[in-house]
Amino acid sequence: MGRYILKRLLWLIPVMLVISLIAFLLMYLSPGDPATIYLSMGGDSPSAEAVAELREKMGLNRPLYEQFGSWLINLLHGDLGTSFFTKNPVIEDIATLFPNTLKLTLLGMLGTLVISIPLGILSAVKANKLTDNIIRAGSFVVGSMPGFFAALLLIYLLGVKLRWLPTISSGSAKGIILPALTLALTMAPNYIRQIRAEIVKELGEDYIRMFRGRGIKERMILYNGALKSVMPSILTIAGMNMGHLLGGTSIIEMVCTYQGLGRLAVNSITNRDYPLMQGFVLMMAGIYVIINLVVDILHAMADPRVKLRILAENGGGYRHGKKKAV
Amino acid sequence: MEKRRRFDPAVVRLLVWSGIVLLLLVLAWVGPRFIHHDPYEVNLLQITARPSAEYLMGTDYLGRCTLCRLITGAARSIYASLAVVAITFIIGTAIGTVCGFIGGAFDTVVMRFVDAVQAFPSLVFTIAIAAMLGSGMGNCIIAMSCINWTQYARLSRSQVLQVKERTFVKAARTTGMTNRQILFKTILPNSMTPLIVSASMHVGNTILGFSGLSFLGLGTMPPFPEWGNMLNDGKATLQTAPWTVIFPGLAILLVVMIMGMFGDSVNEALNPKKNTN
Repeated sequence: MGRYILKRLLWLIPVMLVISLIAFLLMYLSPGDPATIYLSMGGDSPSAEAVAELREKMGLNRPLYEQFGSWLINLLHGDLGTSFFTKNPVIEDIATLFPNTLKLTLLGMLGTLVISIPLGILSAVKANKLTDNIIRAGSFVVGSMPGFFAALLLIYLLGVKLRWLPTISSGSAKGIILPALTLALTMAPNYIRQIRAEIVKELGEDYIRMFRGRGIKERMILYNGALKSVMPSILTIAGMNMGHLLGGTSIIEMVCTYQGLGRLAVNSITNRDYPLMQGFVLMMAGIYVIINLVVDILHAMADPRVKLRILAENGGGYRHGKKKAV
Repeated sequence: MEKRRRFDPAVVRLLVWSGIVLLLLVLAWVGPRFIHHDPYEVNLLQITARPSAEYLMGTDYLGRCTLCRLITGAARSIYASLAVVAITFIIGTAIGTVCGFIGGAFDTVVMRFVDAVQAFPSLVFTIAIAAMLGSGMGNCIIAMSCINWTQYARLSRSQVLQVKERTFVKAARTTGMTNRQILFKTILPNSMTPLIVSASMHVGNTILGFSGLSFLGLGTMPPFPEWGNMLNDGKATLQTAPWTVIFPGLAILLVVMIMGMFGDSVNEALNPKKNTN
């Protein structure tokens, strides 16, 4: 097991290197000269001397590998550069807004589970009956809806018509409800489908049949048998999705005018604020990779089957299709 | 046996949904010839007019007919997404197949690269590339393709790895077929099914992603209509003229649902393993 964890941790290095290379190239390959863009942020066009001076200062005249090298070294010191637009260190801008996005993501995920677990169970228990069909049809429709359309509908319904929630999410505590609800609604269909499929499969297993044969109540079977064995995998999926979700809230944050990282990222793109964009991409990718790694390791430690397979792969257990002692 | 096969409900469903998708594609193609108003004509006397007999879906903030813009924009929204699926399918499959077939260092390097690309939050990465290239349909297609090919690469690689070990491939090798013949005549045909299934199931998601990009203003340039940017235009008039949001949104929803049904029917008809759900 220790070897497996070590191996995974070592793989992190090349993956992170490629990630940072891609993030770096985003700026390098972009059309337009960063120095000119930086100087024209105020609105007026800069003089040629000023641009040349700044280019020298930013090191844009040096060869690519040198630029990447020094960028990487700064990165290791926690320096992501200065935002072109706000003129703050990128790391500060990200740090101020990250908690907001994290809150939104956590609340969205909580909402998703609250919606999808009961519906998924209900759907599985009533498999192929009317209730199940209604739930499946409903989640198919909602799942086909673009997130921003769902957000706009909710804004119209809850904000404009019923006036329960503010139409603009920044600046009030209630503001987070609308974007979180949108996230939950758009993610729930997937979870309902997964939970239903897992429980239906689990309910067909032999041990469940044995429980039934012994006359144990259906409710007991469901809660103590099926649900217990299904929950870990659902939570695994939820955990893995967190990483993706953190970087995927941009559009919803834009629609709901929520003060989060996603909105900052989209704005940084329209402002051509490359350092901020790089910082965001880098951070989200890093979080995603690390979450996946942690989930994988936890999974390996918790599930004996996975553990065995890993041991086999690392210790030369199964080679050339022949079984050897593990 | 033969007779029963012809009436396999899964195949019938596949044919029906293929027909509907074809109809949709044809409608998107010829639709713009049958509209009554010029979708680009600004009419300041008719700004955000309610749906009426004249304007069935009302007008937008510039007095343009929503229905006409919907019909004109259909081709862009749908065909661009199909293009993304086709491009990523071809590139991803080619790379993944080569990786699985050759193996070795090349395979390791490419697959690590795939890992790294998949590590990026896809939406942000797509937006970043689209922004880097500048807005426009073509650039949006490129940006989405840059990310999406990886899933086909993964899938086709694992397919090839599996098929490679099957007896008929080994048999082909003993008969002295060249590597190229083995690849094209035995391995590829036998690893295609899951790839086609997953491509057909990706169409809907691609339409969603694409409309998201143009919602952010990275897709079609105004004044050309596209469903995503129509929603973006409608956002500002949501309170006074909700129809400018609702109809384009419903259009996307409907098309994504049709594509979803189509994908499911492909899966059901081609997937040998019967699904439990």
